[in-house]
Amino acid sequence: MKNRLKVLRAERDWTQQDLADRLRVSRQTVNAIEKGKYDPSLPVAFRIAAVFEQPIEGIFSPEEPA
Amino acid sequence: MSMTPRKRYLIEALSAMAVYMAILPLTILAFRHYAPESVWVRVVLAVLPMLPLFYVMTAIIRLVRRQDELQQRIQFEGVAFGFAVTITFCFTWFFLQRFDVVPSIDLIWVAAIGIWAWVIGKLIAKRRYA
Repeated sequence: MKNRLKVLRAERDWTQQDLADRLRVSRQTVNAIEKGKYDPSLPVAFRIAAVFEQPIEGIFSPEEPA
Repeated sequence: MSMTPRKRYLIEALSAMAVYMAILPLTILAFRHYAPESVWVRVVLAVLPMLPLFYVMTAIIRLVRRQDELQQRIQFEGVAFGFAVTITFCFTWFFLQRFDVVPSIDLIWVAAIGIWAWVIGKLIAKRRYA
């Protein structure tokens, strides 16, 4: 999965820790999601959508087929 | 600022280990000095140091329950790696022992290998998501 987490976070001038606190996860988890190394569960994805006030599909998109 | 699950676990585990380190020499001294004949007294002396370790075990469970989903996945991958390594070691050693290649060893070595393999497994999993 690709995501726009880093861009959305930068727009709000939040650190990874700021976002992690809002999502009630660790900073490492935010970092892994931003780098595309970990796809969050649906509950966390919904929390991300709520924090950024955007629909999930506006933040996450499937990887382009190779 | 609230304490992270890891910090809380470290405080719980380290205090329990301190109690363990205090109890262990006392039970060894008591066993050597009094050489109790009663099996039950020996059982109590032998198992007494396990009480703080039991607390460490519950602290590990509390740690995992407090962690977020990625941290829980890392724990799971670490435990899976540790379990696989320990089982492989046990079977390999068992067959080598049966073929008179290696001597019989204490169970404590299985525990030591299990703990180290778990730690290494966690480090490998952590790197994957870093």
